[in-house]
Amino acid sequence: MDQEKTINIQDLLNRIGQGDDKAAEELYRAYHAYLYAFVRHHPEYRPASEADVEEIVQDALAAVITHPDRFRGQSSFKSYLSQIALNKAVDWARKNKPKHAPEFEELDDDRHGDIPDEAWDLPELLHAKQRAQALADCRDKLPSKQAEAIFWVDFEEESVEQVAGRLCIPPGTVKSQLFHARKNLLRCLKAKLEGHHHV
Amino acid sequence: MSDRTPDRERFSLDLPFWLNGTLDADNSRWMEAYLRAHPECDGEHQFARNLLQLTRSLGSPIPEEERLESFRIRLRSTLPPPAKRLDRR
Repeated sequence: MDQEKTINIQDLLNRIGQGDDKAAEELYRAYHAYLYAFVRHHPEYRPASEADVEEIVQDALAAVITHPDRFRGQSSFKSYLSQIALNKAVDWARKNKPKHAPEFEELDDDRHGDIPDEAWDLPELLHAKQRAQALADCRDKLPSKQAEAIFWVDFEEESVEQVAGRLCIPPGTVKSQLFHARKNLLRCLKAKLEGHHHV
Repeated sequence: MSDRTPDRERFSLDLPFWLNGTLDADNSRWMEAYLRAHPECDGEHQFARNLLQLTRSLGSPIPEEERLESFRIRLRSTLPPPAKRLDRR
């Protein structure tokens, strides 16, 4: 996942600054998946369509390509890029006013609640593809804090200490948010299976 | 607080970090041993694994060539000449 290990970002930005269009495409190819997942895990700015997500991703990359020398290396390039993408997503949401009402509680505290062990077993009747779509639909209904925690842990494979530092919250809260996220996803999936179309 | 045991709680809370490979060796061994001793927890384990796989495989349904072409068009229409891209502030 971590393209920064294999890409010399400074070299790439220098080439972009010199007008190398191939370098601009390399940047796009290297960071599109990261930015796409990042935007997808910020449901409060949830764009209505894939085209809108793509527009936000392209806005962020175009901003870097327009001014490649603005990256000073004070943070990782991915952090720099995600901050630009977040700003672009906020701009997009301001203009388009998406309706995002999280359907689940934030529950930042340590009330983990009881879930019977057997409740986690999803019926086999869900094919992998259906399960993936259902999970994706349910993820869009999560509170943003929970969705963002999933992004840093599952997509970026960061440790609890890294995520806690990034989000400025205690490690225990990161763990709680992830647990509540899974619990909410489970509730959402069960409701879908039972045909509760309001979920 | 739930009536789950502290060990059951620990398993749930550390599960994502065990699965993404960032849990240290001692805690990872504890997770493996706990799961072996408590097969009833495998449903939660598999659920978290599915979520991890879904998240890792997340990608735009728009074909890459189509996205890239629209990006090229956008850059051609909006990008300043190279000299202006290096206007150090």
